[in-house]
Amino acid sequence: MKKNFDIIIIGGGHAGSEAAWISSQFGLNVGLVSSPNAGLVSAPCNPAIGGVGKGQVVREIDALGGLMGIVADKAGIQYRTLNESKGFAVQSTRVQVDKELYTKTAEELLSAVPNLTIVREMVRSVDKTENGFQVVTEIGSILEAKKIVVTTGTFLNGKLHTGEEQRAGGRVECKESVGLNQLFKEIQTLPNRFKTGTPPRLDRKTIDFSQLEPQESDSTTRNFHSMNSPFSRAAKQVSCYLTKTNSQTLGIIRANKERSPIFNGQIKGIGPRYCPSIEDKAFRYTEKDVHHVFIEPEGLDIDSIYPNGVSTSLPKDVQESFIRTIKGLENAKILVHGYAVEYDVVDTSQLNRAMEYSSIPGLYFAGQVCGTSGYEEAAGQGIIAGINASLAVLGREPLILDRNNSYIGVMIEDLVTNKRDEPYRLFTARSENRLYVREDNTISRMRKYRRALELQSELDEYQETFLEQVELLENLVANTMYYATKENREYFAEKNYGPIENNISFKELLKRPDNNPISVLEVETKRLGVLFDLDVIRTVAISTKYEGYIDRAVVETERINRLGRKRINWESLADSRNISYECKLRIKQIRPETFGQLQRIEGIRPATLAYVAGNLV
Amino acid sequence: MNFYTDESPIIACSTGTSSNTAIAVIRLSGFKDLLELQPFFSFNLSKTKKRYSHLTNFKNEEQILDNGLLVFFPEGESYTGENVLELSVHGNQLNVDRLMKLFIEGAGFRAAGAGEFTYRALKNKKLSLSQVEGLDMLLNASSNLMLSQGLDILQGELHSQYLALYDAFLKLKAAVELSIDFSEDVGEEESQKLFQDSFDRFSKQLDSLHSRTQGNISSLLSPEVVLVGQTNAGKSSLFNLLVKQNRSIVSNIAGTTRDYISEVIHIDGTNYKLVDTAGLRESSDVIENIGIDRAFEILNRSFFKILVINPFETNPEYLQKLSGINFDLLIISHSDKANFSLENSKLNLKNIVAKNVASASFETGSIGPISSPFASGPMGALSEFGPMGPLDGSIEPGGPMGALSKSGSIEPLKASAPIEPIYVKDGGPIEPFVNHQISQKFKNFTSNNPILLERHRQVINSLYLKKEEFSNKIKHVDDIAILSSEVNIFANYLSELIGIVSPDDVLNSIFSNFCIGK
Repeated sequence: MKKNFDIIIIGGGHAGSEAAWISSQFGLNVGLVSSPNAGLVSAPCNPAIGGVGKGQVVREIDALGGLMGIVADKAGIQYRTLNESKGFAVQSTRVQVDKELYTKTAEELLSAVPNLTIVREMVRSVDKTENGFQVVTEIGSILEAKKIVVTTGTFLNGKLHTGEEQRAGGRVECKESVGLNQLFKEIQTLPNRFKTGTPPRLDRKTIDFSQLEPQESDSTTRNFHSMNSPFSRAAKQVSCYLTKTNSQTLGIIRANKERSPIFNGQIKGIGPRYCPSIEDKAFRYTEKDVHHVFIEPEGLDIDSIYPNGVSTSLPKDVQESFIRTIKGLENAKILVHGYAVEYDVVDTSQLNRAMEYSSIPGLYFAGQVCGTSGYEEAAGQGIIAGINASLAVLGREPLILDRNNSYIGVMIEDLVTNKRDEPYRLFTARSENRLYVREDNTISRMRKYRRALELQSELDEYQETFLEQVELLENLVANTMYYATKENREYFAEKNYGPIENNISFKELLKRPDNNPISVLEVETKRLGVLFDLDVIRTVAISTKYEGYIDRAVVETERINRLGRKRINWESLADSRNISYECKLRIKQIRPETFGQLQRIEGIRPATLAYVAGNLV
Repeated sequence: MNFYTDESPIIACSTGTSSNTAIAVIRLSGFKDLLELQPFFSFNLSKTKKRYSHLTNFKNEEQILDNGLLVFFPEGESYTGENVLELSVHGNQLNVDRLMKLFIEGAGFRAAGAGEFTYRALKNKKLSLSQVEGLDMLLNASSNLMLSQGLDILQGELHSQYLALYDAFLKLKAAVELSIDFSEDVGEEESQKLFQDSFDRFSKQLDSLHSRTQGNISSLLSPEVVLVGQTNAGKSSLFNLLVKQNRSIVSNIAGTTRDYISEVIHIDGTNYKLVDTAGLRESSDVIENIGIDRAFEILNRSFFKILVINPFETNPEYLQKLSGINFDLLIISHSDKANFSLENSKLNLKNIVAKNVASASFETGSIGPISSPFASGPMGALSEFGPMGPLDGSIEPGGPMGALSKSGSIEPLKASAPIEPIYVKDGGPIEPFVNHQISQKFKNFTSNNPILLERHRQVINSLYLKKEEFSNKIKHVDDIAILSSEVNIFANYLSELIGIVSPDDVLNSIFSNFCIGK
């Protein structure tokens, strides 16, 4: 087979499928090359989409026209709002999904796109040609494209570990790809390989649920896809369950230290500290024996259960004995044993913020191959890589997301300004602008980016109408007063709105710390005889509540970071003899464009900053 | 601050250019190759050993200009981090000028701007910004306190305090982030407790730094001792006695305006400016009022206030005007005169506040005890002036000075009730007694090791105010997102003291202290 494309995407996981989906919206001729034995967009680790910070990413992808929110809503079997008691800005959505339904939905959606060709073959090599790239597959197909997006996940030179057993592979029952170095001679990998792991899967029929604490699906959590009705559910809703490890569990693990590939030196890759294996927990926190284990169904019609919290690469017999010490799991049967996977990752400091490899224009990377972990992180990069590959084919300017108004922007800037020394996951802590980068105002934040794509679709109409509604309601809130009349005093008392001694504005009423701004706005708009969509009410209410704090944070940050936005010339810094060798190396790798980016590079010394700041003034 | 962007080699006379001296040191920095300077030296520069003195002639073509020593510090091992050459030459200013001109015209050197050597040291990371501030303090110190703090900063003592604060802050921020990003893993109760504990620790660290920024900095940097009293009270006699004994070895402080009589005196490692407000006095009544206003101004900012009263010549209106001022020492003069006790007993001192009271005779130069002029009723007989007892004994334990040293604040007296003075018990020479009073007070004020750098004081104070604000906010805001945004405001101030607080630092703190992750 020989075929020509505008864009070829290598890898059909969360990043690759997102890139393929958005690229095909530009009307380009897109090829998606994916491993023959794995379903598209599968969820090989935990069966959930979203999470703190990650929920925001899913909604950002959705607002850009992405796939993830649509698929998650179709396959969602348990919804939760995390941090519900902690203030609106840090609330995030997480949805447990039916893995089979998830893959099936994604396959259907992608297969239905006429200008997208799915090629189920392993890739043997990628070469640069005069006008683009040539991909040769293992069975000899030759595919040509102007731009390439690489989203190979954990497959590059992948190696699986379960106790003493080691085998090559990208994930369980999947063949590994060749190493990145064989695929692209010119690409730098990080000197360290990364490692990630997954827990054993349990047979639902062998778990005693009566002993476990159930967590039901929350019917008030909003669906991900903005155009879906907020609370409708496509699939049947089920519960997750909670149990805990104990001293016996940890005792077994501690007794088998020398058989643990992580601790006996068999695994050299670096795993994420935020997602430790149960071995990590046992040996790093020796005083703690009780750890949460969330019992999560992997699907409605499959018997596989994901015990979240006991990721492990211990030998099979050890896995079996420690699992059975856990309450409710005394008779649990393991369907698939846990394992760790080590893989090559690309050095993201060689990428620019369009996700393009700086020294090889036209070549884009996205997803776990960039050293991130998590489906949402992968999808977020995938959509940006896909957009930018498409814009490049069309000869248009790249789309760069700002870290001040999106988590995707935070992630990409973090990735390209630093070498990773462990897998990267988004935390809300990584954003300097957390009060603003929320789920409820995603459309307001992302509209300008979606608009810049110049794709006229139903989604664009929806977003424009939504923002008109938001503006209307904002005006209403800004221009309504409550007068200190006898009627209002009685009304305020009845509603528990607090005192009204002088006239107060609608805004002040919403900002009162004891009032829930959403329910107040909902009740009061109805009373005024105007009806607004609940999503519109939510975003206006929450924005009003935070506006003072956001302004204050902006002013305070500005006060210090006036310098941050000043442009710097990294080339002259890299030549300067006033900067230390190590700092120069980092500057050359990262190529910071502003003083703020220079500040965020790890390992840049204060003296270098003082010197650069001095020369900027 | 001026920043110098060109990198041409610079030259300066490091030992000052205001007068002729025996030796002057000329410093050259930033030249590429020592050997290129060979034409100016008789010594064969290829034989130079780093950090060794070599005897040489300095010459212009074949003309010998001077002879002296050269010391070479190679790049990376010098103060500025660049190639540095230090020349010890004869310190005649014409000679120094001529030699500097030689390098400026003959070898492309440029006269260094003020502070430029240090700026280059900063640029080349031989010093940190704080160290430069410390160095500045060391070089311009007017007291042992400043000398030692300058050195402390240069060696990083203060910096390590800041690092401890930074560490406490990281833990606070980590606790906040923990409860947002990892609440499922840690649990609500534990994260609440972590937050409260870490805030308390941060608070404590900050409070201790903040207590070191209290008080009037000018009192610490150039403390003034002020003498007030009416004409003929004996101020000038006291002034002369104190100056005679304590004259500073370096008597000329440039820039001192002599619009009143003042002299620098040196007591126990600290320079004080001794001010005799007599210099403000004129004979005309109108002018005298202005003079008094001016004296008040000086009094208000002064560190140690001495009131001298002549019981034989006292204007009650004058004493009235002094009410509300906290004097450190009240001296009733002319104690050697007949009828002193009688006149003393007539004094109405009920408006005068002083921490310490003594009688004195400037004729005999001795000081002695006095019965309370503040108490009503007949005066007791004066005891004879004997030799002075141990000085510490002259201060009653638990007196106001004791309280003062605990509070560590410079002006706490204003707020307190009128002070019961301490009476001198034994007589003895005046000067050591007064010296001791002054240096003891200074010691008490500096016992908490005050921070003298104005920039640091400002940052710490702003940080402290934000912390207090935050502390109130915790009580009625339960939205952790808002609290976290307020915590970030601390980070901005902290980064002014110690550099950038990065999210990676916070996450590192979380991961190293808590078991996170499912």
